[in-house]
Amino acid sequence: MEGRMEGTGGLGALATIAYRNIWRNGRRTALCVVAVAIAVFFNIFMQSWIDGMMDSIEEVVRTFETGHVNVVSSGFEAEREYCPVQYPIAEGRSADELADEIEALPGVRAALPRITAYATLFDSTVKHALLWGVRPARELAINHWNLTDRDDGLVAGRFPGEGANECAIGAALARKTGLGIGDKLPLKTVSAQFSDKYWSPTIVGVFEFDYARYDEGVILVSFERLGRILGLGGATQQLFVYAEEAGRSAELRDEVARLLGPGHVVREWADNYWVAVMRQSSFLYVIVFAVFQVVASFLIVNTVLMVIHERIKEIGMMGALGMTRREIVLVFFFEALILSVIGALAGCLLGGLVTKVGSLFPIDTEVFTGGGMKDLPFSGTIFIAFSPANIARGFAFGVAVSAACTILPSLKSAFVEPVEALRR
Amino acid sequence: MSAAGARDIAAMALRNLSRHKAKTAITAVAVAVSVSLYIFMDGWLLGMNLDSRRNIVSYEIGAAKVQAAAYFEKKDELPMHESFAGWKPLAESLERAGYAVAPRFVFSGTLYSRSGSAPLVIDAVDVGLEGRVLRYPSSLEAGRFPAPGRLELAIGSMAAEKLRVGIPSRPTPEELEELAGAARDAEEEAFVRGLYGPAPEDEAAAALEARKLALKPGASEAELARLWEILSASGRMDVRISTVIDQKAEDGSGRILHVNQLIDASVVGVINSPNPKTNGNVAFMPLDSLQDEAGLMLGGKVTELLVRRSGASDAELPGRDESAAAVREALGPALPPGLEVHGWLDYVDDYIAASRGDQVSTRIMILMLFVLSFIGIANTMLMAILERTKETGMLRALGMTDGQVVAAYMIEAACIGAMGSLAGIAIGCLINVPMVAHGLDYSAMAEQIGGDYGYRITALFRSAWNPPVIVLSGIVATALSAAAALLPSLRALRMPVTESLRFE
Repeated sequence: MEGRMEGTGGLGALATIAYRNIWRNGRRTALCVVAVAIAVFFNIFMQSWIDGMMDSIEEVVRTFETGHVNVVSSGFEAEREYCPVQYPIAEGRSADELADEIEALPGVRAALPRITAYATLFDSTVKHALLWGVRPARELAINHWNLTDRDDGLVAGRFPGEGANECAIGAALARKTGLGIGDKLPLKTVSAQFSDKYWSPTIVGVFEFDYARYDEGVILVSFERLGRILGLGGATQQLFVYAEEAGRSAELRDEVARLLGPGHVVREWADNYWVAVMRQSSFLYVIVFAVFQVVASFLIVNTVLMVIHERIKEIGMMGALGMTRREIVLVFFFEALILSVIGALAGCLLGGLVTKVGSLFPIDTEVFTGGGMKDLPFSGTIFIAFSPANIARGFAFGVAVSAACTILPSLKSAFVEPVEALRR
Repeated sequence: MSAAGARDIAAMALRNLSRHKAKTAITAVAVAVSVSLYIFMDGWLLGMNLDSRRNIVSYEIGAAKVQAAAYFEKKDELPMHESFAGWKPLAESLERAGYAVAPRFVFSGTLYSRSGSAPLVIDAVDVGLEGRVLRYPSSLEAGRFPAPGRLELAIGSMAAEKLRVGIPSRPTPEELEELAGAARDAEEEAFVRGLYGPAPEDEAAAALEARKLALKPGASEAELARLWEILSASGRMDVRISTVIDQKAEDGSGRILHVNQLIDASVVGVINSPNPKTNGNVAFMPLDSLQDEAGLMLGGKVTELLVRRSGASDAELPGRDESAAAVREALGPALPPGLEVHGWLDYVDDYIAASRGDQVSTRIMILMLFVLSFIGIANTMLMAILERTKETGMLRALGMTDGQVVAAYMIEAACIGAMGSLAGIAIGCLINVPMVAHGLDYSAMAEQIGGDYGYRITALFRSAWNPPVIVLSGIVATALSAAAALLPSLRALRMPVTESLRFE
């Protein structure tokens, strides 16, 4: 008998028996499948939503806050809050020299110098803004500034030319100040030597990055010009290093740190507070997902228990005809497994469909920030992430949890005494 | 049905529960998980929202604001040119009606300290009246509240730390040197150094990284006042406000005139209240010190009046007599055209959005969990009723009415629900005890985001007890469980008695 079973396919035969058994009570099967499907769907949807949010945060952080690897001096790091300009990187060396050296490292796409400094605006209802000294042409070869439309974010005019007495401002800032292209923007900032610098660049462009902090409060100016005004002598306040592969950021960080020596703080983007917080909280979500999956698995557990009880005579018969206890247990376990696979498949189908459709529609983050939370690195629009990997993970997680929950109840069938059972 | 009959049916239902103990227990556990999570989440949301709301009313806004309609429209931009004059008669008529009123002129500017600068929102307040409406003037971490008529500032604790004004509670060794350098003689230096010691043990890990020192916990008020005086004499508290005064042109053209202004002031206090909005990039100044050319040339104008019922309890949210409509009515014809009254909820879009987002997402989540639990009960009852088709036929053959059969099954399901609910309530309450007493510490996040995350809670997010929901969640779970048995039992009754008896 044992030999014949092996001959007819062993596990395959057991699975066939299990599959046929599922359809003996359609309603019960349907309820089990629905429960597992709901849990799997929920988990896939939640994960896609969280991923969408994380993608947005990570992209904003990489584009505007840190790059892949961020270099500042220790002096700047200590007073980061008010963007001090008196602590340039590798004092005495020019930004270009430094950038060339870092770009010579393997795996580096670009090392972009940037300067940020607070500015007080004159003759304006808006009192302050952030000066952002960059090289637009080089930046845009690496980054999209508007992360939603994936373009340079210009809505009118152009970006300031290298070294020119020009600036571009965010659309929200333009609206609030009532200024437009061709107007002068008188402002004051404080140089590296602590002297007041008065400046009045001409607005040549208006941009919309769909990132509230920048659209409302940033004046984009030429890196060269700002560096000159602030008395940096060709040095830079920050370096944003972009790698060929984002995954290699940690190695790159160590290499850059070695290159620059002490007195600098070199960070990779994943060290950013918000990225770290989001990553840390992901274990909480796994707990939530597990609770859902376990509650759904209770149905299958109950089903297995009931099925063993119902079919006690059959178990006796199967045993009498020579099936081993292991095979009998497997029949019930397979029955549970097939239920969870069908449920998980249904959940994946639904989850895939909903996240695919959801990923096509932008979600305005204003809905849950209400215009506050300006310091959160969020783009103004986020999308639910549609990812086959998430769906596959949801499937595997659903089946694994259900299977783990049903092992114990299936074992119950091993304790049935065939001779006793036949008499029941 | 007689009382005795009902008792028999209930007894039968209970006995049936014990036929498959494991099944009953698992189904009940599913209900318990849902109920306990619901109780926990509800208490958590209620706690956050209750604390936030109280803190908004008591520390930030009061119950309502009187503002120019044009100001309200653009309130996020702080349009100081949309201010109004002649607030005193308004305040008087409100005070006669039993309200406390505090005028304010809100503007933004850049604050320069000796070591840096930061953009700041500055509330110019009437020192005498402010404390009658809001509680933050007494939430001082160090120093005192500004005195009327003087160019003095009380600033939020987070801004103070960033700008290095005030008394640092956790300085690095370098910062301590800076503090010691402020001393005028050796005795003072010893005094300053004596106030600081190594950071306490429990924060050793965090302290190690930054090598931070800490202000000695036993420092008396007199000692802190002396330290403040020493630091102040060294110029650490001297700041400069750079802003632009916006005024509407007198010619009625709507043109806005700008005057660039620098104001020298000194910081006399650091605010650290339970509402993070008062602790961020915010400063408070006496309104009367800014009236002339040395200030903001206000000439008696204010941007808003804050209104609260006088003597209102901090623990209570504004009642109907403090609504915008009630305040408007109290003002009656005294309210000039162009001015409006808005309730406090109109000013906290960020809080409302954050809160609503959390409410909706959490409740959907728990609802899904409830659905799962009830599919579980439905499944259990479906199987139980199917299994007992023969018995049902027999009971009916012996004269039990359809109603009695349905009742028996529903009581059985309700019992599963009730067991789960009781366990769920017990677990939920057990989770709630530490959540209400201690809460979760979000201060690291508060610091990162400058206190701007919607909720008005500085560090500890605590849960609150919500007895009606705790009881109700149990009752609803039980009732829903009973309902889950209705359809399968009605289906069983559709089968003729003779068929049921033959059913295999």
